[in-house]
Amino acid sequence: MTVADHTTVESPAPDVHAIEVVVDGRTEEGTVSSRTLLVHWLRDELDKRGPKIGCDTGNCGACTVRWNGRLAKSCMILAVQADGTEVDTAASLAAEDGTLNNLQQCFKKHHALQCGYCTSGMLMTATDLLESGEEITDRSVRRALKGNICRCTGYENIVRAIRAAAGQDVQKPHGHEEGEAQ
Amino acid sequence: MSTTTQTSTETGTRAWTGRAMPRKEDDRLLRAEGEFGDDTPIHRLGHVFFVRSPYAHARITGIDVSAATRVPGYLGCLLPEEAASLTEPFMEIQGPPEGAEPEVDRCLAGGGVVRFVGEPVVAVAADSREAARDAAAAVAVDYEPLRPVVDARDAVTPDAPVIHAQTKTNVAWEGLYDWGDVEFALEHADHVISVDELHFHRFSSTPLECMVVTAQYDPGTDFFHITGGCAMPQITTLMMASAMRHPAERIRIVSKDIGGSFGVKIGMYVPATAVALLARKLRRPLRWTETRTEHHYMGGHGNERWFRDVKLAVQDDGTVLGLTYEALDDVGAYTRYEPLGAAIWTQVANAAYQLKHLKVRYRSVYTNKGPVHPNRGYSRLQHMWVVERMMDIAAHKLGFDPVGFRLKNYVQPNQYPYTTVNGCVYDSGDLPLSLRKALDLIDYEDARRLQERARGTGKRIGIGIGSTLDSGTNNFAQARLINPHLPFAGNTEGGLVRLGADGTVYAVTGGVAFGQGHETTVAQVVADLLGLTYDDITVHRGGDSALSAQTGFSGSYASQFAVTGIGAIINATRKLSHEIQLVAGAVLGAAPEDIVLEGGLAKVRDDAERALPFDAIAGIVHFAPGSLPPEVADEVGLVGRAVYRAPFELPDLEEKFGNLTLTYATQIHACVLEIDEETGQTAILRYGMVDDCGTPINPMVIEGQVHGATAHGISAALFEHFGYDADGQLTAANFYDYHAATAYDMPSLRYDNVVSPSPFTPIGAKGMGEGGGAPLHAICAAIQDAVGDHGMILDSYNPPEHVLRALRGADAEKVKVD
Amino acid sequence: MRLTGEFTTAGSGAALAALAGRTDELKAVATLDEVTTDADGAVRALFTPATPFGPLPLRTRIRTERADASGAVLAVHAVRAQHAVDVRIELAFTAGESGSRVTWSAELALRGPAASVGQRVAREVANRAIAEVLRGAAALA
Repeated sequence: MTVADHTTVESPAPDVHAIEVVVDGRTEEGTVSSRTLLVHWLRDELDKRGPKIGCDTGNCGACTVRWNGRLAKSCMILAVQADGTEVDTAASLAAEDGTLNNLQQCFKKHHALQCGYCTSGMLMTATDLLESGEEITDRSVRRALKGNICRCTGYENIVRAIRAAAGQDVQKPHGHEEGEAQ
Repeated sequence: MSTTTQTSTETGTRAWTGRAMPRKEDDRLLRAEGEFGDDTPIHRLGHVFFVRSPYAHARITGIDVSAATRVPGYLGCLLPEEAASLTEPFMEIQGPPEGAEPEVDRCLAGGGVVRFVGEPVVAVAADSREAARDAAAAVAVDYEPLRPVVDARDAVTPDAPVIHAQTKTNVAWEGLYDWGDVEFALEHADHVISVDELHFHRFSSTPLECMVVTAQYDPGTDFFHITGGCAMPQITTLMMASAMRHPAERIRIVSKDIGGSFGVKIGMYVPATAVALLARKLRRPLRWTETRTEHHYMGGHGNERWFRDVKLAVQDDGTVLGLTYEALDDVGAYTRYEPLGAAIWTQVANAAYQLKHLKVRYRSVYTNKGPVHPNRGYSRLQHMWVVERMMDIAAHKLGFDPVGFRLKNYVQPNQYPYTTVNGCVYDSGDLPLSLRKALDLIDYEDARRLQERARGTGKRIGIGIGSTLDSGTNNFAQARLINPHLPFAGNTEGGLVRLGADGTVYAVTGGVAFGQGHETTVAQVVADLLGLTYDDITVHRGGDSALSAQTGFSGSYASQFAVTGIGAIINATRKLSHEIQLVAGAVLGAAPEDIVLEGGLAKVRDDAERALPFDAIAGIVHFAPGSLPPEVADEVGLVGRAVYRAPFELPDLEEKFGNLTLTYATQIHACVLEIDEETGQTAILRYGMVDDCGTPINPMVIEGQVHGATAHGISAALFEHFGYDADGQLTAANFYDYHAATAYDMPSLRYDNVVSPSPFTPIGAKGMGEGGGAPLHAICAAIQDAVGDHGMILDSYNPPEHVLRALRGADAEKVKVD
Repeated sequence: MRLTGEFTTAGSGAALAALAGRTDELKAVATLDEVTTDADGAVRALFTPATPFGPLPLRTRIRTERADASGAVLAVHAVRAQHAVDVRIELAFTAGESGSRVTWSAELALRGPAASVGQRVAREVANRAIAEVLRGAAALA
């Protein structure tokens, strides 16, 4: 009982497309099938570990990247659609030598990650918010994060970290000593 | 009392332990350089996709894989009959029912029957993700539908279809717990609150990373190398070894970064067995990357439980005497870790209260739903929820102040160590102080004024309290309450600390972290013991069964790492310290006990001139053993490997009496919420949590765990429900239909703590992290408070439609006061 | 879920009922393909209804439980990958001025992932798919 596959089985023409995408500032060339999702190409072919897969329905946001500067869920984009575009993953955020950027440092300082699986998506969403010029408040940060699910932190520390990255004075983690070496 | 008290152990100068150190894990995760299950690139990796049942209960009448074999990239498949011939059924905790055969559970549907929607029937492998999916879609399975049993209450009726025919019953386990004399208490109490039925709903922590298993088989050595987010590696190894008839020592299980488990990944051995068999058959490394939908079908649901004929005995002065109920625990289609839940709840038999009498008839019941697995708060939160519900209902019905009523009945600070009705020993705590702090966090008096002011506005304010315990470090002998023939008793964890050839320190723990920061807390403790800095210590990421740090019970579950994992690391570090002292003593001409470890040096006490840096010690042991006295060279290897043994005895199986858990962290939550009378919508206005887990190792990590457990509870109470329709179809098989709370749904969280060191553990710390489901208790109580007692909150799940029903007086008739 | 509909067609009730024995001709229906008949008389076909998500090919097996001039009862089982649909369709034929009025009611059960992800859209999609294929088949009578 074949179902979804009869075209794949019988079609002799290879269903592949050459693509060229600037990923994290580097031009990457690839050959993908029409159905390959951008997230799979980034992960399987380029070993980009920022975008993660946490759902089947575009709800979780773990695969969030910036696509030509705009926030996008890379599980909802076909790799062929990315041809000729720019994609930035969380791997682009730290400096060349690995030094964490301000947002990443705030995540660390405020314990805004536990298992780390949602973290890359959170960082991309937060980067976009912070660059958007929108007023940063507890509410605006929470609204911006609506499309990113975290199952570890309860979001509290993520919200604090993002507000701290915006220069706001927020509550420090429990037990934090002033002047603690980071 | 069956627990022996251990004296607290010195942990050096404590330069690092107890501080909010930033986590070692964070840099790699923030730079997107972690390595989760699906991240590892492997040459010639094939992918597995499971063909799953669309029926809740059906006979398999035919399987045709011919179309799959024509899909380009198809590698092969594993069919149920092949799995049956290659494996033994997985070990079961419960014995067979009287006069019947045991449940049979295999990696693919067994006995020609499928028993829940999403049950794997065929495993298909292909050379790409897409091809595996296509090939699986091309497999034709014909079914003859059977009548499903979706509700545990139906499953125990005489005409219910039997889910495992050979067991002849849908009751997987049945037992009576009867402590004190509850009949006497009910007969003589001033008041008896009776509730016909309460329901604790089905949900799970649904980790963001679903399960991933990569299996490689090396025919040259007959070795399986399994990589995946395995939360309980040695039990997993044992389950797989016995099922596959393969030596456990030729199965290596490795995990790296794990995107959450919260208990549910303990079930990994089931799909891992299918992937391993197929990898061996096809001689290809294979990976199964579970989809969200698959995870919701069988990733492990939390226990759903019905409480029937519930009675609470209360005196005029507010003293609660005892409680009785009948529990129907819906474990889904296979028992797997169950029916351990039937014993686990008794760790917190008293909940937070001085109950004297408790009687529970407990049945673990099969239904045609996804199997349950331990899920954050496993089996205790259900019991504590019903106790807390009954306390709350009693306060409403009898007119007691909800705060005073709890304060009066809490186990009091001067009663610790407190022995419960069933012989468990609550180690320490200060529940009244915790409650007062929680009420301060929500500004209780002000909230009551807010409530008054809201009257008549179309909005109602409710205030609720949730009192819970987080019992940690199991005495595995409690499994014998389920089956006296089981060999389990006590609990251990392992740890290993070594000094490398250049004097750097590497620590490995048997606990497998999935966000709890074990690399961080281990480094803090080891640094203190060796007189090094936090940055000097490298801690192994994840788990590796080949590194000898594990014991049988190793893993991360049951809130225990701060006790067992850290205890083992302390013992291992001491062994290493002793070896360093031996070497330094021999070289420096001093007695080993006069060597102190400080600032990266092994120094002779009170003699600043005589000291050896660690790299010199390592160099001598690794490369110049000939320069050491033989008796020293023969003894030192600079690898400290040790176990921590939790001090337990066997419980009295007849009386079901004895200490089942070493530590009891407490969490008291308080919340203020607002419900909209028109829509039933709930908005949380204030939320406070007060945690007490003894001596903190890293307060920041503890606070983070409390936040996380709170989010799980709030989300479960308001949004998350693994609902099934009458046909046994799961109606929440993805994050679209199963709403995990987002940042926008969550209130700001206010945290405070109390420190009551445990007298029973190495550094006074208690296991924590599961949290005991306090938000479920607190939110139910707050909704009840908002509704008044004209409709009753008898379900743990309260979406707007339930709240509206309560506002209209639903379920009031189910509660009686005598 | 229960779905209902009605339409008029040129054929008489008897002619409509006779379609049950003329399965070969069903391949003329636009959405039916690869039509074969089992030994027990059940029809197998690849049914590809148009949906808002594009064409959705379903492997179907249709058993005629009853067919006469007054109506028919069909049991349909359709499968696509991990999803399955079972539909029992009751049709009533009443003679009109120029042919028949067909009223139908279907009891539909979605199984597998579709039961969850499809729960909000299944009614619309299934209603249209059933109405179209019934109308297409009736036109052959």
